[in-house]
Amino acid sequence: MDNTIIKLENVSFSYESGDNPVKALDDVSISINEGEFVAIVGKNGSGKSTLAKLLNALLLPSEGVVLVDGMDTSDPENTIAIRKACAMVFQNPDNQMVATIVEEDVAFGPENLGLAPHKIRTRVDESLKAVMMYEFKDQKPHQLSGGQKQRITIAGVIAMHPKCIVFDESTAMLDPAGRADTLKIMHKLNDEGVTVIFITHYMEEITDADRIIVMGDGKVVKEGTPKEIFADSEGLKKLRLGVPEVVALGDLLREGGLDIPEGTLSEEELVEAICRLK
Amino acid sequence: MSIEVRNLTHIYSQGTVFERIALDNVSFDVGPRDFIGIIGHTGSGKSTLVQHINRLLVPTSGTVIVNHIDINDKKVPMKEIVRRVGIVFQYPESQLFEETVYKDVSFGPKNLGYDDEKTDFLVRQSLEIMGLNFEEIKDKSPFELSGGQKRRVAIAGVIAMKPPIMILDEPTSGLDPVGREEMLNMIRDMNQELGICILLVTHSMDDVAQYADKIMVFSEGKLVKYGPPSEVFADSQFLANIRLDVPQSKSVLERLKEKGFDIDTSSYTTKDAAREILRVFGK
Repeated sequence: MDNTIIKLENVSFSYESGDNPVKALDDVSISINEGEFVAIVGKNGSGKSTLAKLLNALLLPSEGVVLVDGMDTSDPENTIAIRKACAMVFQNPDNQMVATIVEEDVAFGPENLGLAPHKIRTRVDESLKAVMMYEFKDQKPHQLSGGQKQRITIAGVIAMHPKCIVFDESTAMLDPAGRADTLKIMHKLNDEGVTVIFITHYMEEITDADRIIVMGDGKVVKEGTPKEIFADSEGLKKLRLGVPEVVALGDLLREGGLDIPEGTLSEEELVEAICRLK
Repeated sequence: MSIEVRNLTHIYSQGTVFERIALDNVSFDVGPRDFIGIIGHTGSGKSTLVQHINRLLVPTSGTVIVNHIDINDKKVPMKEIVRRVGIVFQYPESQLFEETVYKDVSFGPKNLGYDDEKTDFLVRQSLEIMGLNFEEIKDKSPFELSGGQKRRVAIAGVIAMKPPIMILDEPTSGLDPVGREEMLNMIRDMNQELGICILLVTHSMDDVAQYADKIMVFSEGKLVKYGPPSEVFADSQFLANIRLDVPQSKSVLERLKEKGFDIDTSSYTTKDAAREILRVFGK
């Protein structure tokens, strides 16, 4: 059975810029299965955000085909259904909130779906509980911290019951605790079956991803599990990326003569590996 | 050029139902060539604080003395303050406005009344500190540059005013990992080569651990800790309680100690932590 939810076939995209268009994506083919947690990394200008915008028809490919849940994004008849299937959470929560009361903000999407009032109520409550913000439902968004606001924008997205959510640097503006909370919610949604596509510059955040796609100059340059991707610190550095600090520490210990297995990604794994050497 | 802050309190919307104490009786000194990292959860008062250092905000009570001048003294003209304290806000590239990079970077020094020759020197020097090639970039429109280049041009515009104190609010956000490192190295150069005092506001514990001489920790409007990284990162439970964390390397050392290793947990950089673990194994 085919359970592909996102499919890009030979997709290119160019931005108009005066006389010479800039090619942001160059012949990219990607396939993502339903229920996957996929991270997309790449240097500034590598095409990550362009890719994200192609996934819910905010941009349309110059060449090639983008299929979301089987629907071609270039057909305007599909746009609304595509945005229902594949939602986006951006970097700055302040740009994504529309109402003056938390629960009204979350209700905005379901209201636009034309649902009956009691169904809207259920969805708003469920979504706020899912992001652990139910007790804030009567508050004003501007009284919340950045991390709390981002959780509200995620609740607004969940309330639409999307099959897939694209997080475009959604943790970048948050403090460490806000970042940890957001990450936890992303994994919880993924455990419940939502496909997660996470674009980030923070390598520490993606050690639990099912798969990492590395972009460079508009192309997919590497693809693999976190263990495979982070085994090559030097290669990543050439792509203007890095490895999580734990991996860097493991690399230094290995160079120093300790037998730390390649692909040790988390603090727990590294501590265990060191304990085994005692 | 030093900063002395005494009993600084800032209350937003005082006397209304929205009253909120953003800074609560904060006092500290910063030395002339210090590299200070400022950390704290969202809403802890970091940004409110830095806006007091160049009179963008006026204290509800307390004083801010920059190089022996009380900057809230009405007799001190704003120009004198701008000359002393440069501030780079988050996403400074959104503040670029001129037709060419040269015009944009020269805007500050011209406003300070410098002649063409001095302005030219300052523009050249500032762009070079930010790793940009003067001849290649000076006539370009800021809007045709990449995001990372735009940010460098915007920061060059502040450096060009030669402020002895520079405040940078999250200058690395949105940059790729190598871009982040390059930016931090440039900030270190400003500090070490030009002698500029740096106040770096950030959410990244790793950045302050690797670069700052001293760290200020804010929570709920209060300065709850101020000292070298070794001291600030010594108590990870305390940091967790105020919604912050410690660098991962530090956390690994602490976990090893819990597992019974006879290990010194005071290191907070990756290299030092590796050295300490190797020492325990006699390597």
